[in-house]
Amino acid sequence: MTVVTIEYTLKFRNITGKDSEKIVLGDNATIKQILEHLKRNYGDDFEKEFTNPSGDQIAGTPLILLNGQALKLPENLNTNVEDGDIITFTYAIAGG
Amino acid sequence: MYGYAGYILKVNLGTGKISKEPLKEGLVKEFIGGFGVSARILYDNLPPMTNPYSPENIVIFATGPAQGTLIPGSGRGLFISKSPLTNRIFNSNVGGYIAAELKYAGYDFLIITGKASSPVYIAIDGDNVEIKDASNLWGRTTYETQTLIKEELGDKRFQVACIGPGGENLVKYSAIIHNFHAAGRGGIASVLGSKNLKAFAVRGDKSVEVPDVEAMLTFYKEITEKCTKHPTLPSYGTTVALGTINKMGCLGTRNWQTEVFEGAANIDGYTTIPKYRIRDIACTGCPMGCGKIQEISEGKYAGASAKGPEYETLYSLGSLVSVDDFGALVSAARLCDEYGLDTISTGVSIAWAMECYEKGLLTKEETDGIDLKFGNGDALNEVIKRIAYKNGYLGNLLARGVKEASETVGCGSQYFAMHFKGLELAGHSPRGVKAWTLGYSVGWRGGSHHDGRAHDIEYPKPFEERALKFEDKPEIVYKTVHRVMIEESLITCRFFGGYYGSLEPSENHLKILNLTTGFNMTLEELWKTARRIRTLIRCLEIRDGFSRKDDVNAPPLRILNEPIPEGPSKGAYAKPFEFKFMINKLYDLMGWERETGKPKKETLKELGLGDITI
Repeated sequence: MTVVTIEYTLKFRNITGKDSEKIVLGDNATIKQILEHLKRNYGDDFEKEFTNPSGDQIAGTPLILLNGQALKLPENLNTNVEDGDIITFTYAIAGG
Repeated sequence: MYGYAGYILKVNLGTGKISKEPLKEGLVKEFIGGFGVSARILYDNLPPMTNPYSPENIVIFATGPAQGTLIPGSGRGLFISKSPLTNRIFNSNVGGYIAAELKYAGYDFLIITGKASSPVYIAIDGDNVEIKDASNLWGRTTYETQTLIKEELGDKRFQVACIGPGGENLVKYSAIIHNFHAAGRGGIASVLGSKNLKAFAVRGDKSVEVPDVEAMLTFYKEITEKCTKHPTLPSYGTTVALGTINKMGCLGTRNWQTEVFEGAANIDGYTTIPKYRIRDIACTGCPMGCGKIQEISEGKYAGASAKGPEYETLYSLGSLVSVDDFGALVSAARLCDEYGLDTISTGVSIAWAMECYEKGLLTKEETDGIDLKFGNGDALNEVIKRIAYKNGYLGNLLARGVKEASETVGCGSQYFAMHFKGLELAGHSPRGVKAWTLGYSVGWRGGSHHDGRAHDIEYPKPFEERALKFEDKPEIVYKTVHRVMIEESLITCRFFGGYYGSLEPSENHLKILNLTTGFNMTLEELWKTARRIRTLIRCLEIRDGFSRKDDVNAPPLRILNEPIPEGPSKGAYAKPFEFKFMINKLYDLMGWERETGKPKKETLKELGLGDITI
């Protein structure tokens, strides 16, 4: 069993209605399984944030952080998560 | 010419002569506008080694072909001069409305030379230009000044850019303020102060013609549709960047002793915007409207309000000085705006002083009795007032900038004086983002996060690629530097990089140029223009005595020696041998000599700069 904390910011918070939650997954859980879990629970709006049909560059690109480390998708879909990991859904830094 | 007003306005404050001359088509075809054209003007008119505070120094307020048109993100203009902080060419970008207004008044560039014998301001009302007495304005804050000038001129439609006590007192990082916006970096406000120029005010009724209005409107609608859906900028501005950068372990904290700030949540926009935002503001014609005014509603600093504070200010007057009292931070930001001080340089200078105080290198006597510990928000506010007026030992010391202040105090304090080439370090980690080690060091300004906008590309990358990999950074910085050259010459807002091109000069930049001017340049020609502009700027630096040694010695010793001690980016730092590799490779890409950093003769010839001697 793997228990991880998912943090939601900005639009992700609006979609889920939460700042964060703990989710329980099986052993050897992966980022892909987390995404599937979240798409099941939060539907099309959640999935839509990860598609980019207009081919824009990085404007508004969703950013997934695993314990503060940015994950490149789709290469890191099979990255394992461990008990106690924090996965943050946010956006690429704009400004500054 | 399409896209241009067609004239340069020249004001000599010493002789009082006001003149206008046509803007040459050949000049804009080679250099576009904005920074590019200004660099050429300075090369042709500003003698090498000019003291920034001498009457011979030139200040240009520049527009490009985008200003005054419907190009989204065109609400920007540039002040260009020789900076007293870095002693080299400096471009300071400002938002708001004044750049478009200059075009509406009928001018693409305002060139200010000489020195007035007493305080004055310039009033530009279309074709009618006057130098007016400013003795009743001298000493006023920037907000007071703007109000008083509009009242005196009898027309609220005037757009005003002015200096405050910071610029008048020649604080080396004083800022020019226009509306709520700042041309913050580089101390050009103090150059105006040295000329006794308090402000200029401009209004106009002319229009800017473009070749195809329908095509312009189509582009406007296309970009507006996209940018109004940006997930952060329209709702939060840049204020939420702090939380994300902190989560990645790259947020400058306590003078960059670490890069994780425990108080980040208290000052991040995600917390503050829902509580304190009172209104939004946008620059000319901008559909994104990223400006947020926040006002504190409770506590000691109730009533304090400021634009933003933007990410850079949340860093410099927040994490960098370890202040997580948002009221104290907003008050400090407001003081900087009213006095006309760059928030980044102010925060970095104070953070250095705080570290000196905690290490015993500054005594309580030398801090004029202020308990200058990290986290002391009251002390932060008090010191800002002293800097603006060069009040006391501390105010005087810090007004010189952190480079000079650390040279004065010495005793090893230069080690943690966080500047590159004299310009205090912006809020993007040169350790956590490897490309920035290079970008800041070879930048023409140094510690500016716009001298090559590497972080747009690098932040989304995993830690190993962002902070450890170095072999690919020269090419990334090479490309992003040239993107900035084009954006500073068209003049478009960096926040539209995601729509126009984040990495390098691209098709949308080309589209903007062709939509505004009808030049019908190709992408290859655009790239060559970008290289021409950067190389000319490099020649200006070389002519002023700078060379490779200034690039290789640019990084603060802290970042070359101390890995990030904790957090998700723990262990990252600027390894010297990597730094050397990156500089050499970047020079090769730029067509500069490895030994000296000078552009090669063949590079100058290829770029049409064969007349340049360095």
